[in-house]
Amino acid sequence: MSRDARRPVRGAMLLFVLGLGALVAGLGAPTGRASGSDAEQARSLLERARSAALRYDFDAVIVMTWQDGARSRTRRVEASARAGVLRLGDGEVLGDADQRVVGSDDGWHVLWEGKVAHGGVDPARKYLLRVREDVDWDGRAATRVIAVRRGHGNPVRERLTFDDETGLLLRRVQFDDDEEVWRDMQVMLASVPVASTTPHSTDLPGREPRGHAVLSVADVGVDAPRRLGDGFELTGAYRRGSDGMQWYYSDGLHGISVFERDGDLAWDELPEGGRDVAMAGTDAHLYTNAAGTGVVWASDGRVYTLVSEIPSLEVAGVIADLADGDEPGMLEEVTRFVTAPFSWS
Amino acid sequence: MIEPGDDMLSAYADGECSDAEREAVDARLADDATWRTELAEVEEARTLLRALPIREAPPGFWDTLLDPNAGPSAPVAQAHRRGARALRWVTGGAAAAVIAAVLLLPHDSPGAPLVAREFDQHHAIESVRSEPIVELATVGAPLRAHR
Amino acid sequence: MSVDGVPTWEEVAREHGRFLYNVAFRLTGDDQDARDLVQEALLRVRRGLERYEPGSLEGWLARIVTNVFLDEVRRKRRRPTQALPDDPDLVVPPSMPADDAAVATGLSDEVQAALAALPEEFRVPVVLCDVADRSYEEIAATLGVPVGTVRSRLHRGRRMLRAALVARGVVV
Repeated sequence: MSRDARRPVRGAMLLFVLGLGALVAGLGAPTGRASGSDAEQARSLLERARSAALRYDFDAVIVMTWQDGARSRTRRVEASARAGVLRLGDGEVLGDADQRVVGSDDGWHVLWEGKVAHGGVDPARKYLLRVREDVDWDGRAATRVIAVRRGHGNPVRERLTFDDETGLLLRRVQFDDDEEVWRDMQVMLASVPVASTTPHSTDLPGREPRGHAVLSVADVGVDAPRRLGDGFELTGAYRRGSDGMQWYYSDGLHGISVFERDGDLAWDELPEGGRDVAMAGTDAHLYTNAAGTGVVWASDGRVYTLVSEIPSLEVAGVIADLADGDEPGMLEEVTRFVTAPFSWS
Repeated sequence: MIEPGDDMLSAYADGECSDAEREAVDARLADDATWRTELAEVEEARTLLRALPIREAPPGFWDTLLDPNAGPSAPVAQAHRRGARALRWVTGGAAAAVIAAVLLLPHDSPGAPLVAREFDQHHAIESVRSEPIVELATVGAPLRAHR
Repeated sequence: MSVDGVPTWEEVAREHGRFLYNVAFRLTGDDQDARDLVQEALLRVRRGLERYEPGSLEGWLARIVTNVFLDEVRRKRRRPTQALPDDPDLVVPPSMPADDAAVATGLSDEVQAALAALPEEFRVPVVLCDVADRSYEEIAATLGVPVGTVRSRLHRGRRMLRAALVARGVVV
C-alpha cells in the first residue's frame, strides 16, 4: 500500500496484538424472547468470530465501502494474522496480550489494554436474527446471519457472513433505514487460513502509562444517560485521564461512543474534511468515513464527539435524545440536520 | 350564574374553583343527588391516591448514585506497578453490564487530530467487544478518504 | 456546596430524592423504570441548575421528571414495538398481567395497579395532583395545556381509576 506523504503523523503503521483473553462474550444471557435456534446459532457465530482471528494465520485484503452523501467511497487495507497478532497496513509486530496499539512516528500509542468483563446487550432484543446456511462467499463455504430490526416495518439492518471452516467474519453489510447499503466490509482472503501453532509473547518498548483510570458502569451515577436512541444501552464508561470521559453504548450489534471533555471547541483546529451542520440550534461538524459517522459539537462548556458506525439517521435520533428534551421541535430540527448535509453539493 | 360542568367537581374537591364556580357547584349539589354521589366518588379516588405511601427506592440506589468514587482503586495502582502487563482485573456481572478496562491515551502529538483519535478509540473498544479484524481495519482511516 | 441559593445536584438528590422517586414510581408503575427515570431526571437537573432561579424546587423537579417521562413515552410511540396505548374512552382498564395480579394484595397495591393501567394522558395529571401535590396552574404549565384541559383529564382519570377499583371489587 503506497504511503501518502501528507498522511497525518500518527497514521502509518497499525499493529494489533490480540491476546486470547481479550475477546470475551459480550452478548449477555439470552432473554428468552429470541425465536429459538436461529438466535442461538447467530449468537454462537458472532462469538466464534471474535476469537477466530486469534486462532488462524492468514493474509487478507479488507475492502471497505461506505456512503458519504450521494457518493460511494472505498478503502482497502492489507491485513495479516500470525499467532494471535494482527497486523494492518505496513505494520511491524509488537505487543502483548490484550492490547490494541497504533504505531506512529512518535512512538507506540496504546488504544486499549485490558480485559472486558462479562456482560453486554443481547442483540436478539432489538433484532430478529435469522441464519442461512450453505452460502458461498469468495469460493468458501459460509453461513450468513441476517439481522432484522424488530418493529418499525422490520427493515433488514445487517447481513454478516461467517466462514464455516474457521469462523472468521468474512463480510459485514449494514443497511440504512431505506434498506440501501450503508457500509460494506469485505475480508478477501489472500491465503488459506491455517490453524496457528506458535505461541507469542512480545514486549512494547519505551511506553509509559499516560493517564488512565478504571471505571465501571456501576460507578457512573448520573453522569450519563443509561439509554440512547433505539435500544442502545450504556455498557462502558472510561475516564480518559485529563481528557474527560468516553461513554460507550451498545445495542448488541453496534456501538456508539460519546466523548465528553471540558473546554471550548477550537473550530479552526478540527481536522479537514467533514461538513458544518446546524443541530438543534447548535453548530456541529459532521464526518463520515470508513470508520463511520462522527459528530462534534460544544455545549455548556463541554465538547462532545459522537462516533458510531450506525447510519446517519439513527445518529440523528441519538443526538435528539442527548439534547435537552425541553426544547420544542427537537426531532424536526435534527431531521433537517440529517437530511441537509446528505444532498450532494 | 355559571352552569357547573362535571369537570368542576374535581376542581371543587381540590379547592381549585373560583368563588363563582364554587357557588354554582354548591347550588347544584343541594338539588342533585347524582351529583352528590359523583362528588363522593371523586373524593374517594382522591383520598385513596393521596393515601398511597411514599414509594422508596430499592436499597443501595441512593448510595450508588451519590458516591461515584466507590469504585475500586487498587487495580489502577496494580496497573502502574505492572507496567506493560495486562490487567488481571475482571469484574463479575451484576444486573447491569459492567465493564472494567484501562484505557491508555496516546500523547497529544502536535497537529494530531482529536476527532480522528476518538474514531480510533471507539473502534479499539469495538474490536475488543466485537469481531476484531473488521473493526480494526478502520483504525487509522483518514477522515478525508483518498480519491 | 451551594452558591447564591442554588443547590448542588447532590443536595437536590439528598433532600428531594424520596419525592423524586415516589413521583417517578407512580408515573412509570415499575421500579426499574423509576430508577432510570430518576437518574435521567437528575442528569437534567444537574445540567439545568445553572439556569435555575430559586423558587419552588419541588415544582421544578416535578416538571423535569414529567418531561423525561413523556419524552420516553413519545419515543416509544415513534418506534412502536409494543401495543399502542389504550383507548382513553374505555372506562374499565384491561386486566392486569398475571404476575402483577399475584403481587397486588393490599389496597395500596390495588390503587397503584389501577393507576398504572391508566393511559398516560390521564395518569400524568393524576400523579402530578395527588402524588406530587402540584396546583392546576403548575400542572398546566408542565404539560403545556390550558387549565381547563387539566381539570377535565384529572376528573376523567380519577373516575377511571375508581371504576377500575370497583371492577376489581376493591371499592363498592
